[in-house]
Amino acid sequence: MIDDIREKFLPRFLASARERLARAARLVAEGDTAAPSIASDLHTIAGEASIMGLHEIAAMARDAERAARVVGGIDDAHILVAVDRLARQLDELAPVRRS
Amino acid sequence: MIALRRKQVLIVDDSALVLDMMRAALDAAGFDVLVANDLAQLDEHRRHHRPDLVLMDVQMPEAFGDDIAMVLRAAREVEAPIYLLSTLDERELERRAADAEIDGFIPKQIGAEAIVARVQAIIGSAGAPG
Repeated sequence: MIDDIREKFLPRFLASARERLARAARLVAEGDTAAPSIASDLHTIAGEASIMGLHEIAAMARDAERAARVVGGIDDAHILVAVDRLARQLDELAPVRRS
Repeated sequence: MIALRRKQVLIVDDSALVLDMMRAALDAAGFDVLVANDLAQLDEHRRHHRPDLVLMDVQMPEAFGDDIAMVLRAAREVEAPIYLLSTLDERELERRAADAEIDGFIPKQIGAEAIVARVQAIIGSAGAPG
């Protein structure tokens, strides 16, 4: 039963997570002022992936969230690498169809 | 014939996806589920329902879930057990639950299936005579 539920919600999770990661990547350029927004998006991805049972993605999102919450300024390079790794992990789960 | 009331779980979380998936999982396990996406919905449910269990996210845009839970518990506005449901580190969740003087926590990391099992362990799975 839970597998059916997971299957049903997976496309919605993927679409939402990709949108949040794209926004996080854009916001990194804005520097420290954007850190709370980036952390919030990554936190949401971690929570949703956890509920879905996607443990690896959840752990990666939590690591990236921690990088965004570093006191004294965000580590742009670390976050961008983490966001890119997350995006590739999502693609492994379900490749994006490109026309 | 005695009508059985399904045990009712109220989930508070700012993620619509988490709410929808947990509603589906708990509903499939025989629970009646209320969801609140923000404080206004929580207040609405609090005034009109008496859930058997409240699951509360911690990091939400309007307030921290443990702060909300502490207020609800201190004002005796919710008598049901209140558990934090979050991806935060377990030690932090344990501390926040203790500080808020609520009943405990469930890590989101265990996934929907195990969360349903924890809910069953906390309030039981059978309906109570209504």
